[in-house]
Amino acid sequence: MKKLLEGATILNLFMLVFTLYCVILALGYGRNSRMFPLAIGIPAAILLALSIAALWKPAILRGADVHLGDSSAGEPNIDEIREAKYAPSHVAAMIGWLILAAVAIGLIGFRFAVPLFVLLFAHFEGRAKWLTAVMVALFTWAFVVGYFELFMKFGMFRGVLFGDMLPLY
Amino acid sequence: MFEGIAPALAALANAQVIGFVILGSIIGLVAGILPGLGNIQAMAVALPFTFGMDRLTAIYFLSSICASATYGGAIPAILVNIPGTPANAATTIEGYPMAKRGEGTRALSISATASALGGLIGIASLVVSIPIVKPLVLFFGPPETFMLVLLGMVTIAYAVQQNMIRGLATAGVGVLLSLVGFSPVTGVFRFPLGSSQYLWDGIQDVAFLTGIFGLSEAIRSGMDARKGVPAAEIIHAGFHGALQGVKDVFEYPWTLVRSSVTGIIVGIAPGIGGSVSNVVAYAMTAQMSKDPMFGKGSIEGLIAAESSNNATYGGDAVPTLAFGIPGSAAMAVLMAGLTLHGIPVGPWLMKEHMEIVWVVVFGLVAGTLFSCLVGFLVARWLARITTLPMGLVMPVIVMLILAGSFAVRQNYWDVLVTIGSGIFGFFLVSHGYSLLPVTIGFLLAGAAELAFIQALYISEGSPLIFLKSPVSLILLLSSIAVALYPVLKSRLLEKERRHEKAA
Repeated sequence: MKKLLEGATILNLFMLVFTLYCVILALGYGRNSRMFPLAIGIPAAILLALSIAALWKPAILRGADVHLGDSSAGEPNIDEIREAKYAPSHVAAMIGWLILAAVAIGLIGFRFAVPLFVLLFAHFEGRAKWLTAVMVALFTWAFVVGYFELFMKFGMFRGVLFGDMLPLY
Repeated sequence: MFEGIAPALAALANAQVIGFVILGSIIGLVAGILPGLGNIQAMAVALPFTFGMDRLTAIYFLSSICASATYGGAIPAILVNIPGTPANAATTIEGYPMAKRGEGTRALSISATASALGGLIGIASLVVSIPIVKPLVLFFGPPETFMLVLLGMVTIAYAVQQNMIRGLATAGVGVLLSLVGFSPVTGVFRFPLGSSQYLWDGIQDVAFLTGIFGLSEAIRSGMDARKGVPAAEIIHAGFHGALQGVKDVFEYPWTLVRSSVTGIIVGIAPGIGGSVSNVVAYAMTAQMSKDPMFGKGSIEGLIAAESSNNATYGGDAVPTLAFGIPGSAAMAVLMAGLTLHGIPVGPWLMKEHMEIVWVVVFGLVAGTLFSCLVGFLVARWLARITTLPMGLVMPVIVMLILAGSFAVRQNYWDVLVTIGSGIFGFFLVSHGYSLLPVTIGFLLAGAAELAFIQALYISEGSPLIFLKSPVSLILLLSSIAVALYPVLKSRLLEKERRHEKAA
């Protein structure tokens, strides 16, 4: 059960679910539309299932290990190195910051979200002084607005609170 | 061979293009100096910014970024003992001890000269390969193109992933992600993922690539938000010894040529780049060198490391431009840049758009020379960039990526796709997957499906068409050989071990 909740299992399951979704939908398409997705999707699903099974029995994949110049033989498992390096709470916090950025852009648009995100991240996560954080935020804001809105004449998203509508999904 | 050279050179004479080449070189240098960033991330961030440029300017800009980051990475490798990019790992072994004994400027000068010459040798190999490769692409019809893409994916899965099965599986996921949306080949809206409108055009290349390469790295940098190199750890270097460094490189011409050729060969193999070539060339030189200082600040070792990693770009560009199979992740982003500007990538690029090939050649030359010259002149000040904590750099990069991915189509959902692919890329790397198979699968799927369907139309549905053409058959057999090689090798090793035990 513990293994099921590990990052590697969730990642592989996510890819397997997406692949199976494509395979199942492809079965309902016409001949030309389904041939290529099935030719790729079915082998990919089998390989992903093997990858998941290998999380319990690593010997399943050992035969397919690639050791270019045998340089990687005997090295510690990459999964272990990376997972040990990043605490799950820290990963969650970082993803939280990105979700905050997406929500801020959606609500108040780039003009306000850009300096706000840079300011908050630099101060709270980067431990920068307020003055430094403000200067970096202003520089980023000036660059984004200056380049896209003034130089390129693109209309950047203004946010739903300022009258822009979210496009249809 | 020389058709297209005139418009490429004419564009380079334009002041605006020169400005973007200089800007691209500076961006590449700075990205190379900042540990954790490199040319892939810099190109991914810059990609949407090229949207408003004309296509030749955009390709010049991206090529100059591509060529300049590796020398940038040598600066912290020599002065701080931290490789700026993975392609400078071997540089630290020889460069930092030289800097510590007061020869920092000489080491920077050796590195700049070897990088420039290695880069030029690599680009020369690309130019030499054009008349050889160009006639070959005429043999490529739909079945051969499909088999070539298949071979490219299998080779990349082999070369960059620790495990063949995991590599192929992620390449398959990349292909399926690319098939989401309306298919121009079959006229069907496939795998809608609940979307009624947005995904009609599929998952956008720029949003996906900036997310998977740029944002995933930014997330990783954010984990080290408070880290920066203390200024006191940077070794001071003046200008004394600069000329000696240039002379040093010419005292080891064979090391320079051998390492550059190693870099080119590694570059031509799809999927692997400077991070492998600098270690391979350094190891080869270590075996041949009689220098007692090797490993403790050897000039020969530094030349080997820095010439090979820069020569790799020329090699990387050969499969990218000739066949549309990216030689490295940086070339995958460059390919996305070509696609963004409506330039078809694949065997037909050399048939129809030779000017683009020359633009890449001149862009790489200009980026290499400019970055080595300017980088060397201001290296001692540029090294201070490493003192910037990632907590200040990361939010700026995130916002540039999100604004850039929005600007291409001015659609808010592209921002979410970028964030989604950034998180996906972060988890892939965190669990030992390479980003290249999934990206290559994503980039090549459209061409592969078109070739697949066209081939079956030609043969009236018979899959035997893939076996009838000798080129297609050779490519298929090569794919099978590459896919089965790790399995056969592992069986043979097991057998040998059993024999040894029995003995």
